[in-house]
Amino acid sequence: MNTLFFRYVPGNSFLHRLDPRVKITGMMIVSISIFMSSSLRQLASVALLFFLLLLFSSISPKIIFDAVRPMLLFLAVIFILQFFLMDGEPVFYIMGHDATYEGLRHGVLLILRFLFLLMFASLLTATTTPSLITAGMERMLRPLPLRKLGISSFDLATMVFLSLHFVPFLYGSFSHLRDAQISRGLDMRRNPLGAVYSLSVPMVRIAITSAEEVAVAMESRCYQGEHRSSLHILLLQKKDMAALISFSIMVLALV
Amino acid sequence: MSIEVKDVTFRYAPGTPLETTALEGISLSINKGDFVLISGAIGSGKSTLIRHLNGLLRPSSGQVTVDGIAAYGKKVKAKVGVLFQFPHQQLFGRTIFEDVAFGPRNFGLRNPELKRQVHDALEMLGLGQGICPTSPFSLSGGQKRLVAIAGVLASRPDYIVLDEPLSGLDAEHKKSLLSALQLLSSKGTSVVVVSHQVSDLLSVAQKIFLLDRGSLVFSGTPAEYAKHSPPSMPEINFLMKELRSRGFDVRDDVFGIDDAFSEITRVLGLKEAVEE
Amino acid sequence: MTMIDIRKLRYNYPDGTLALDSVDLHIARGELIVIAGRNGSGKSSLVRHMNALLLPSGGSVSVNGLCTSQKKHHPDIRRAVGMVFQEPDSQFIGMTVEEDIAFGPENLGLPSSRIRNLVDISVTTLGISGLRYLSPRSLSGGQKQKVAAAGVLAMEPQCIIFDEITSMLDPLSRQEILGAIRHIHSGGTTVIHVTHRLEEAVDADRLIIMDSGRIVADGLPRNVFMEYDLEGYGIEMPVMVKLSKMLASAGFSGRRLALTKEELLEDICQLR
Repeated sequence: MNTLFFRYVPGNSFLHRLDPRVKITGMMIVSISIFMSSSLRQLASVALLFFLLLLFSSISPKIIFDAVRPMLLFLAVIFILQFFLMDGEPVFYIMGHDATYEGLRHGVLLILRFLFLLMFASLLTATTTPSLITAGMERMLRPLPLRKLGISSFDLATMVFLSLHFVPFLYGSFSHLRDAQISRGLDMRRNPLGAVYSLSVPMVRIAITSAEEVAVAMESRCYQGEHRSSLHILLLQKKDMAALISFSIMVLALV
Repeated sequence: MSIEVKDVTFRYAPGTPLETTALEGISLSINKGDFVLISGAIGSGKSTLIRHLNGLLRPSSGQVTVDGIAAYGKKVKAKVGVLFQFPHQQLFGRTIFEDVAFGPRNFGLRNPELKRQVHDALEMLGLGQGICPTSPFSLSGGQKRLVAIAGVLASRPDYIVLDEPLSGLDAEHKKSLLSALQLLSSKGTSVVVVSHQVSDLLSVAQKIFLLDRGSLVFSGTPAEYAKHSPPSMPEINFLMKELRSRGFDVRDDVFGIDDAFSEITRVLGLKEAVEE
Repeated sequence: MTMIDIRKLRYNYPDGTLALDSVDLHIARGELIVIAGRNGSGKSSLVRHMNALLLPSGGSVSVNGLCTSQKKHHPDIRRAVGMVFQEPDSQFIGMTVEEDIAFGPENLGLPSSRIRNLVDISVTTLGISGLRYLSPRSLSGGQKQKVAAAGVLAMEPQCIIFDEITSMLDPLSRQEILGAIRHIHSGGTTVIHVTHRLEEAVDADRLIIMDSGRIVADGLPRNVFMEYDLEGYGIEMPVMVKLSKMLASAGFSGRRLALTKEELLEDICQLR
């Protein structure tokens, strides 16, 4: 019972070996350009960029697809809404609503943007462990005067790290719980309120209990929030800078 | 009247790089009223098999039937009650009554039968009707487990399957749970305990099935199990085996400490003392 | 040399019920101690005072002379006394075994090379080098507990507390982790092993039995088995010990009370 939900996949590809800060920055740059894309041609260039990166990683397209799959239903709903709710030249009528060309165009653009964001994000998490992402984020946030706001960059990075840890864990607990309640006759159709209640109340308890247990474990392993070092030594090497610069140029040129 | 598992094979994620065969050609039957132990190490396929018995999973090939009908849908879940590991996690009701009534209500039961069955289930586990209006979350860990079991028993299933019910329990709770299960079995409900712990159940079960990496490697009575001497057998049996190999003429189908005691005293010619 | 000094410890749960009732206990460096008792006897509460996860309602607890009631001592106390919990899944913090083990040393602010060194040593001691780059969650129960133990060992504590780590494990995994604990102890670390399975106590230096928040027995395992009626405290005696006791009362005179099947076998064969 495995889920590949933005999971790290061990490997030794070029992308794996890049400094996490470069990858995070690259992610930010490409996200901005995705948001600013307003034509199919631009998004096609983004797609090209993605496949180029995929070649430099040892990640198989199947893994990306598995990360994206849970969202497909959601994307389909968004597309349909856009298709039917936009004003413009009608394509056809259904039940009193027009599906318009503008809606079609906007719908496609919107879901493609989401899709690409998800794909790049899953490539990032597939080639970078949470500990590395955290170390990278922490180093990048360090110069900021966050302390004035009462936030330590360590705590922030750890919070991101723990959320990544909890997603697969809670998903496992959820499917175990669902098996138990279905075996007790859980019926979404006949008793939807009871069904939702029987799933959400225990999940909240499980989430809180797990959070407490992790906190206790962290405390007994001397976690203090501040003054943490890292297993990883982050050294920006020439190849990292070169990669970042060439990537940025490609983004600017293509998109 | 039985659960029949016929040549069942089950694969997770078929056709993908993650494909794993969890069960391979399993055939077994559980008759009404039996007390059965299904044992095996982690990864042997126990959890997958459990989910086939009440229709949560359907086999990739082969067939599972309960009292003649295919194991699928809500009706089967009313006949075959399953208690999973960490049972306290499934509790959610505002009151204990509400939680225990969840199952039977879903299967169509209404008052006054509903009330009666809930009360009976609680009584059977030594909990008493008095706790009905209280919150399940105010109970101790052991009591929560009992409420969860009551939640499964309240639907009066013909078969009840329990996944590692003894894990984490101390000696006295183990004893009381085992007696409750034996009582159930004597009243005609089939009890299927799935556990990697064999020693506690060897003297209680009538049939034992052993799984290893998805295949059934042993099926028989406890006496046959003791003779078969699998690697997972309890210490008592190891001791008997060793004694036999050193020339002591002890029986090879011993199970339980009292049995072992009488065999050893017999062979050594000691008089059996009155136990405290 | 006393490492952990507990005097007249009293502890109340947040809802007021008494969990520990005037407990006195002294633990010396290098001991292997098993603490057993039924659920609710107070054993988990007791050990959680030893690394300052819980603070006394009355009496005192000190580790290496440092009193747990003072918050400023906590980092040093937790560095000296580590704890491995019952549910490994909710303790894992890293995506790979290596990263999870590194979490503790990272919290101590050690330089990266030293962290790497400590991880290497832990992984070798626990025999899990092959699992280094795997996700901790994908491992078997015994392997998970080994990873959790490695994570604590990497901080080089003087004492490690194992809180009911075997209760959810299958027999094979149990043997694995018990072997690892013995190995850790032979390296000089003080070990406190909380369990309700008494077979795990046969090798211990001391067996402590708890009931209703009090220590009711404290001595060599062999003596405790002989002198006390453990079933009365809600604990199961190990099968072999029970059998030995039964044989003894039937007139079987071995040299001593056999604690394991090997000892019992020896004794029976000697009689022939």
